[in-house]
Amino acid sequence: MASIADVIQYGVNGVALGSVIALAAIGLTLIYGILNLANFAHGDLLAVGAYGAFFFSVSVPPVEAAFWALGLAVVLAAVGVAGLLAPPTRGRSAGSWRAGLLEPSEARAAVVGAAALAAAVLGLSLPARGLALPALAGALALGAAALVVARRRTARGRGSDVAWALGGGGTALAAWALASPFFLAAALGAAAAVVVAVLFEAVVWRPLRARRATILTLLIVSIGVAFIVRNAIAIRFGSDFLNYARPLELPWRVGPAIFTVDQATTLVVAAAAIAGVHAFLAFTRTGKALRALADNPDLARLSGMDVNRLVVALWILAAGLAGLAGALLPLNNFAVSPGVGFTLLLTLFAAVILGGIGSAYGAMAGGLVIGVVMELVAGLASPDYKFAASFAVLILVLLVRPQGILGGRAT
Amino acid sequence: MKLPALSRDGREWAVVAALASGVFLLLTLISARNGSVSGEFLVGVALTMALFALLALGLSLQFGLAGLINFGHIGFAAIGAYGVGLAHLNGWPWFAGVALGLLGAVALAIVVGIPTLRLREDYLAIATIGVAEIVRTIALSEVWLTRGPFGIYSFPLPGRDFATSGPWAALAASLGVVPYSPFFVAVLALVLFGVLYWTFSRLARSPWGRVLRAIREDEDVAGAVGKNPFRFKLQALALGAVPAALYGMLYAWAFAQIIPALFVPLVTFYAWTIVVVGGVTTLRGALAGSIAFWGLTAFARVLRLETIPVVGGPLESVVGFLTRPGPGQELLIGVLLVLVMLHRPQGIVGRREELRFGR
Amino acid sequence: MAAEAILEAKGLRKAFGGAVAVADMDVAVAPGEIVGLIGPNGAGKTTLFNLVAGALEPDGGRVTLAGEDVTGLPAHALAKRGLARTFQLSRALNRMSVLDNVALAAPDQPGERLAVAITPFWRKREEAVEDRAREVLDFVGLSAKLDDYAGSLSGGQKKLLEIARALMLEPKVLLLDEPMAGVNPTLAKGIMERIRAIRDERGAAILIVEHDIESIMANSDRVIVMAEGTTLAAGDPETVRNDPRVIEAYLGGREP
Repeated sequence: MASIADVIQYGVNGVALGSVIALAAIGLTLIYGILNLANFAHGDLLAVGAYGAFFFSVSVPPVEAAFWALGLAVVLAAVGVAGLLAPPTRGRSAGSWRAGLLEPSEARAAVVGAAALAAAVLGLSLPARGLALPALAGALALGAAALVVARRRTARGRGSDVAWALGGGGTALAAWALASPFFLAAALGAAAAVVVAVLFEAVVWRPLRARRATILTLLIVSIGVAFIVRNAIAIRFGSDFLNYARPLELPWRVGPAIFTVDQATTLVVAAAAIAGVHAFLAFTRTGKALRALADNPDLARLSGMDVNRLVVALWILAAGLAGLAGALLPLNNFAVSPGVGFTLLLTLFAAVILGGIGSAYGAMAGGLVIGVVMELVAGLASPDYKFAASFAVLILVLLVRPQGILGGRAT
Repeated sequence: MKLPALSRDGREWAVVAALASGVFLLLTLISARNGSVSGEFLVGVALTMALFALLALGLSLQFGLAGLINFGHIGFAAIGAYGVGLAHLNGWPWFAGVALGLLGAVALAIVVGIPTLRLREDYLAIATIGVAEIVRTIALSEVWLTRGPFGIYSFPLPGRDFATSGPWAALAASLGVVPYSPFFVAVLALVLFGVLYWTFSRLARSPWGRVLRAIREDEDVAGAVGKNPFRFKLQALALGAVPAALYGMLYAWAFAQIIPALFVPLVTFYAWTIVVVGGVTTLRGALAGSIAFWGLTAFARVLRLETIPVVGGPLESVVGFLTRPGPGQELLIGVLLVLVMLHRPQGIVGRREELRFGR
Repeated sequence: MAAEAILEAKGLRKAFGGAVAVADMDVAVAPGEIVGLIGPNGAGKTTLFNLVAGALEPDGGRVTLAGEDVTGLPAHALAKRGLARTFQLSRALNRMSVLDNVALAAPDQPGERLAVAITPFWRKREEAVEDRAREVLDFVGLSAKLDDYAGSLSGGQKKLLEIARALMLEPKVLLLDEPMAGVNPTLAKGIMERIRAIRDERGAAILIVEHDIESIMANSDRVIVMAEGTTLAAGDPETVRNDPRVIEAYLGGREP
C-alpha cells in the first residue's frame, strides 16, 4: 500500500513532468485554436528541441557554442536596433520580412533577447556562482518592477520604455546568473525548433491556408510533416536513445518529498517561460493581436491585421516553447529518441483538450493536471500505464465535457 | 490505338488492372534479366499488397463513404490478431479465435464510436489513436493475458492439411513456391479482399450507402429528412473494422507471430498513405494504392540499380534506403503524404470533383 | 379557424447568453392552412422556426405534434413523425445527383437497414421510391435535371429541390424557411402556387417564414407578426394588415 509520503512524491514528480507538458501544450492549443490545425507534428518540435540542445551541448564545444550564441545575439540586436531606428511606415504589404519594418515592441523584444543572450555568454566566462541567488533575486525584483511600471504607464496611455528597460535588465541579470552550457544549449535547441516550424509554415501551411484546405487535408499533411521531421532526426542522429551525462547533484528534501536539482530547474524554466508568455500575450501589440485573432479570426482579418505575419509570430512562440520543453525532457527521466515526439503527442492533445482548445491558460492547467495523473498512475498502479493514463483522461474529457475546463469548441 | 469509350467506373478498373499487371509483368521481366526475383519473392509482394489492401479497404469505407477520420485503425487489427492468439493460448478451436477477433473488433468500434461520433472529425481522429494505443499498451503489459512483449508464436494454422497435400500442393509446386503460408495466406487474403470489396460496393450503392453519402455531405440535411446520422456512422465504423481485423488474423497466420510491436500507429499511417495515394473517393483506391506503394518498394529491391554505371552505387543506396523498412521508408511516407495532398489529392483513381464541390 | 391544430407550440423561450431571442411565443398550425410568420429583422423568426423544427432546444415551453409532446426531440425524430422543413440557405447535397437528393428523403426504406442492404430485397421498394421521386421532381419542375450533380443547380433551382425533398417525406406539417428569398419574381410566384397546391391536395399544415410581406398577405390563411421575441399581432391577413402596431413595427409608417 502506498504511503502518504509516496503519494506526495508522485505529486512532486507530476508537477515537474506536468510543467514540461504544459509548456509544449501552450503552443499546440494556440495553433489549434487560431489555425484550426490539429498539429500532429507538434510533438516532433519537442524532439527537434531535445536533439538541438543535445547537439549544441555535446557535439559543439562550449567555446563554439558561446560563439553561436554571441552571433545570434548580435544578429538579434542589429535587427532590433534597425527596427527601432527605421521610420514607421503605414500600409506595409502583407508578409514583408525586412528587418526595418518591425513593430517598436518587437524591436525592443529583440534587443532584450540579444542582451539576455550576451549576458548568458558572459556568464559562461564569468560565472555568477556565489552571486547567483542574489542575482536571481535582483532579476525577479526588476521583472516585477517592470510589470508594475508597464501597467501604470499603459493605464495613463504612455509608452512603456522604462518598463522595457527594467524588464531587459532583469532578464540579463537572470541570464547571467543562470548561464550554464545547459541553458545555452536549451535556448539554441528552441531556436532550432523555431527554424523548422517557420520553414514548414512557408512551404506547407501557408499554401494550404490560401487554398482553404479541408480538415482532413490538414490532418494528413501534419502526419506527413511529423514523419518527415522525426525521420530526418533519426537519419542524422540515429534511432537509438540519446545518452546523456547528467551531473550528479544532491537532491533536496522538502518535507517527505525529494526534489532533484533537475526538477527544480524544470520548474524554474517553465515558470519563467510561462510568465514570459503571459507578459507577451497581455502587454505586447503582437500578443494582443494574437488573442484577437484567436477570439474572432474573421473580424481580425477584416480589421486589417496582417494575418500571415501574426501566424509567423504564432509559430515562433509555439515552436520556441515546444523546443524548450524538449530540451527539458532529459531532466525528467525521459528517454529521448527520435520518436519521443509521437510518444508525447497524445499526452499533449489530452492537455489541450482538457484545458479547452485555444486557451493558453487552459493548456497550462491541463498539462499540470495530466502530469500529476500520469505520475500517480505510474506510482500507484503500474509504470506501463503511464501514457495510457493520459489517453484515458483524453477520452474521458471527450465523453464528459468536450469543450474542456476553460471552454473552447465541442462540435 | 483508340480505346473504346468506357464509363468512369470502367476506366478506373482499367487503371487498377493495368497497374497490377504492369507491376507483376515488370517484376517477372526483371527476374528473367538478372535473376533477382524468385517465386517466393513474388508471393511475398502479393501477400503484402493483399494484406494492406484489406487494411486500407476498411479506412476507405469509413472515410470515403462516411467521412470518418479513423487514425486508430490498427487497433482493430490488434483485436483480430489477438483473438486468434488467445484462442491458441487457451486451447480453443481456431474458428472460435476468428469469431473472437471479428466480434471483438466490431465491439471496440461500437465502444469507441458511441462517445466520439457526435464530435467533430479531428476529435475522432485523436480519440481513435488514443484507443488504439490503449489496446496496444494492454497487449504489451498484461503478460498473463497476451504474453506481452514476448508474443505468441507457433500456433497451428488452419488449413495446413488441405494446403500441404493434394491439388493445392500441386499448384504450388508448378509455380515453384512453397504450398503453405505465405502462398496460402496470400490467396486467401486476395479472395477475402474480393468478397469484402464486392460487399462494400453493393452497400455503397444501396439506400444505406446513399444515407451515408448524404451524411458526409451535410449531416443537418440528412437529419431533416429523418435519418439518424449517429446510427449510420456507427455502422460504417463497425463495418470498416472487419477488414482490419482480418488483416490482423491473416498477418498472424502468414508470419506465425503476434507481438504488440506489429500494431503501432505507424501501420495505421501506412494504410492512410495507401488510401490517399490510391484515391480517397473510391473503394478501389485501397487496392490501387496498395499495388502502387508495395510495387514501388518491390521494384527498388529488384532493379539491381548498382549495376548502372557511374551513378548505380549511390542511386542504389538512396533508393534502397527509401524503400526498406526503417527511417528511410518512413521519410518516404511523410513526403508522399504531403506531396499527394498538395498536388494530387484525388490520388491515382480518385475523382477530383468528388473531393470538394462548391465548398 | 376551423380544424384543430396539428402543430402547437406554447410558451416557447430561448435565450443566447444574455440576449433573449424568443420570449413566450405561442404558435398553432392546423391541417390545410397556411400560416405566415413575418416580422422585422431581429424579431426572432428564425430562432422560433428552428425551435419548432427541432434544430434548437428551447429553454422553456412545449411543442406538440399531433398530440404528442415532441419538445427537444432531434430533427430526425421529428421528420419521422411527419414534420418536414426547408433551409433558408438551400442546402443541396452537392456531390449527389438531383434524383438521389430527393429519393433519399422517402420514408420507410428497408434498404437503409444494414442487414437488408446486403441482400437484394430492397430493389422493389427502391423502384417505387425512384418513381415517386420523379413525380415530385416533375411537380416542382426539375425533371430535366434528374441526373445532374445537385451542386450544378442554380440558386432558384436549389430552392425547388428543397421543396421537393420536403414533399418526399409525405409530411403532415411543412415548415418553409424563406422559400422565396433571393428568387426571381416569376419563380417566386411558381413556388407559391405549388405551396398552395400542397395545402389543397394534401391537406398539410404549412408554416412559412418570409420577408416578402405582399406574398404572405396574399397567400396565407392566417398571419402571425413577431417583434422582439413575442407575438405582436395575429389573425387573418386583413386584420393584421390594418393593425396600427404592425404598421408601426415596420419602421413607422411603411404600409405592409
